Amino acid sequence: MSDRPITHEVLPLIEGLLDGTIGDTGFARLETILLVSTEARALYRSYTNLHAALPGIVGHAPRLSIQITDVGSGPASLEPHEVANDQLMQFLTQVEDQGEDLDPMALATERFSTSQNPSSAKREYLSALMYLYQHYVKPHIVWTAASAAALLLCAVLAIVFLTDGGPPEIAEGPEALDLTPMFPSPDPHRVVATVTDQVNAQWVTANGEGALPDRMLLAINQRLTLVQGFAKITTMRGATVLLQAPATIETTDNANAIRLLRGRLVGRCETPGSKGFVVHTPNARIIDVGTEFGVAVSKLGETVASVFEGEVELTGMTNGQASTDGLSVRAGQFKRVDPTGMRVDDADPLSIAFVRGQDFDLLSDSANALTYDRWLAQSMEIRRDPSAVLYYTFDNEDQSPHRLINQAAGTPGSFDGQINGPTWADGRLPGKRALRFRATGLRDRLGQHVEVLGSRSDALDFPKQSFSVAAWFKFGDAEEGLKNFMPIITRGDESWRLQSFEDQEKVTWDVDSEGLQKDHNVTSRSEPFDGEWRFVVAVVEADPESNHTTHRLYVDGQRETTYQLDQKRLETSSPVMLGANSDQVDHRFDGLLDEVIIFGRALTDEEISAMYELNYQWKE
Amino acid sequence: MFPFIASHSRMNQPSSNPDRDQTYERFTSLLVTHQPTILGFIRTLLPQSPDIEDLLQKTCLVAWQKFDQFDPATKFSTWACQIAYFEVKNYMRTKARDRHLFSDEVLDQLAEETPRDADRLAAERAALHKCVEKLVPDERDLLAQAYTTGTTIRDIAGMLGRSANSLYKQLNRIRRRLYSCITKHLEQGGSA
Repeated sequence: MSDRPITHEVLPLIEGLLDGTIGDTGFARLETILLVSTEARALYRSYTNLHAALPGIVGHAPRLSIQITDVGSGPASLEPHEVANDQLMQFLTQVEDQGEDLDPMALATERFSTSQNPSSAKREYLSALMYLYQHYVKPHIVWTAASAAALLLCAVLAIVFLTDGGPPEIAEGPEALDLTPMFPSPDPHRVVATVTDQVNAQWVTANGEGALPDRMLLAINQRLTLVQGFAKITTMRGATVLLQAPATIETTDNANAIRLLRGRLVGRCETPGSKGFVVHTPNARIIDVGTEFGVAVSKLGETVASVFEGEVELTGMTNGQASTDGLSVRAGQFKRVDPTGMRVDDADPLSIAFVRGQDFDLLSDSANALTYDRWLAQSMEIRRDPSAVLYYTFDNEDQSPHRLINQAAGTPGSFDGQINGPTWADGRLPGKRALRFRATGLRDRLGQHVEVLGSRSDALDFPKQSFSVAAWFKFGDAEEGLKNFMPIITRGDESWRLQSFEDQEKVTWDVDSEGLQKDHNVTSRSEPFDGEWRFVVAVVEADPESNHTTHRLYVDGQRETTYQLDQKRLETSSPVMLGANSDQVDHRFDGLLDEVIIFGRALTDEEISAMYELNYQWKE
Repeated sequence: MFPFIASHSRMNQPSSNPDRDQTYERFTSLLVTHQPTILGFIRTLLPQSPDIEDLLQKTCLVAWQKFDQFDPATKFSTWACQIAYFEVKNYMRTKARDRHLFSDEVLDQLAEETPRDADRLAAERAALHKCVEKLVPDERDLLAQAYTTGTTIRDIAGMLGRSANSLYKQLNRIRRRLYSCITKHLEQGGSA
């Protein structure tokens, strides 16, 4: 598991495949990775090996039930699936003939009691039951004897399987016999796309505001605005569009195109038929040639196209006519079309973050997921945030017990944290991990701490720029005398410190050697020495027009204090540390640290509140 | 116990051909030893198939029928996996329209590499036994339910009053820990 990016991406896909929960997009991605990566194939083999071996270890080995009467008499003539399918067809024919006079139990007993492959027969039989349910029970609101018998039989079989060790594929069975049309539209020629997945989605359409039903069909020239959440739209030709709010789209009369009027989307060609998928914006046209790409339309009317894989053709458009030559945009490139559609140039790659397929799948999973998985979904967004410079998730104990891995996508391989003393402990959510710091040891040297490697240089300086520092922490039971200046995250005395303040049991954000608390007070109102997990954020916002910076401190999502002061030089050669201050060896943290993030921008009130609220809702 | 043998009545029947019995015993001995490798191989190629057991059974039958062609100087598991590979390919031809079947390119690569990896995978299976013992009882119970009771994850989730999705996630976390434990175990020379 040395190649972290591959492992991180491929492992959830492998798990989805083994669980049967993987989607078409995920499977296609897995195939691609397996094709090109030796390491991914090795990991895949190990996981399937584990999967195959577990039944024999935790219980019983796979059961085979075909009776072999003579292994020495040539090839086996049994075709169990043919036998089972043949029986199934007879069964269904009889069901069709008998309708409501059906006695499923008697019929099933008759048909399957002599099956040569009971396992397969059970599966097929369950499928048949679901067929019965769909075609006879469900359509009839009246509670008939047949429907009661069918449901009773389902219950009986469930008990039989529980005690009999039958095959575990029952729940997936109905799909094989689901004859419901995928697009049951009275006018299928007008349908050009379908809303295929939604995550907390709220819409504004011509019919009003609210949630849309699953598998909502979209006719031509239909306008929708996604005001909240995420949604996946699949065109009739198979291209997928991942929308993230806020965004407004419009279908066209082309089943392989969509119009983005505002906001962001990620497009991907899912099928051969979707090659050439087109995204129209007010001032540009993006033609996909088999790839994954992002398109954003800003409030100012600019279009930004970003290619993740493959290539697209980008053309500036004015009044519906091409106003520039088609430009080939390749993987990793960001291009911007100005509002007039006349000019195309490079865009800032850090200016925009897209939610891609894997992220969307995680978000989608999180709708009904455990607390940990919801956190993971949010965490994926932070990892992708191009402004995240340092991001410790504290979830890499298995891979690297002595080092916190920096998960920020924008700074890969930099700013890992060297763990010196703290030990792994349970984090703030079930399944989440943290580091426990003890305020012990000699006072003439640093106590337990984590040093951010590479931070002694100017790499983490933000000269005259905005930045934010966020951390989840829980103070421990340190002695009273030790509660002064317990460092949460610091950069020496010459730069900045997020730490406890005096004996007031508060949190403070200090800048430069004097400390803001001397003349200025960026100190929390709340007193977080209560043994609870707390979320603290310090924001420094530089005003490019003046010589001032605004400092804001938040506890648990709420802005507690704000102070404006002259811009100060915060550059230093002191390292960034968790749980210690390199310039104050006797200052030490006692308690738990969970998640630590440094953003190279000023977070807004809304963002900080949302980060906390999501976590608060997850408390179990 | 290996089901091929369990379901076969020949072992309890009087025999009139001692050579054949000896061959059969040699075959079954090899099969018992290498059955996990063959099963893992088929599972690798068809991770979602409900017909793994049938394919294993067919592979065993064909292997027995062709056992006189087996060169004892070669590895039995590699030979048997070749047979399994053809069975899988035949099977896939009948399931061409199923979702989530690997393309021929991926299948060929996996089929080529997996037998070469047999020793490592066998070591991982051995380590897995030790790692499962380190799980807490609740986790072992969950695995036992998920892997042996014949119920689906949805069934178990219903019984536990939880969502299937949460159960999938918990199982994944357990498997990740097992995998991590296996890796550590092997890195430390099997002494962890």
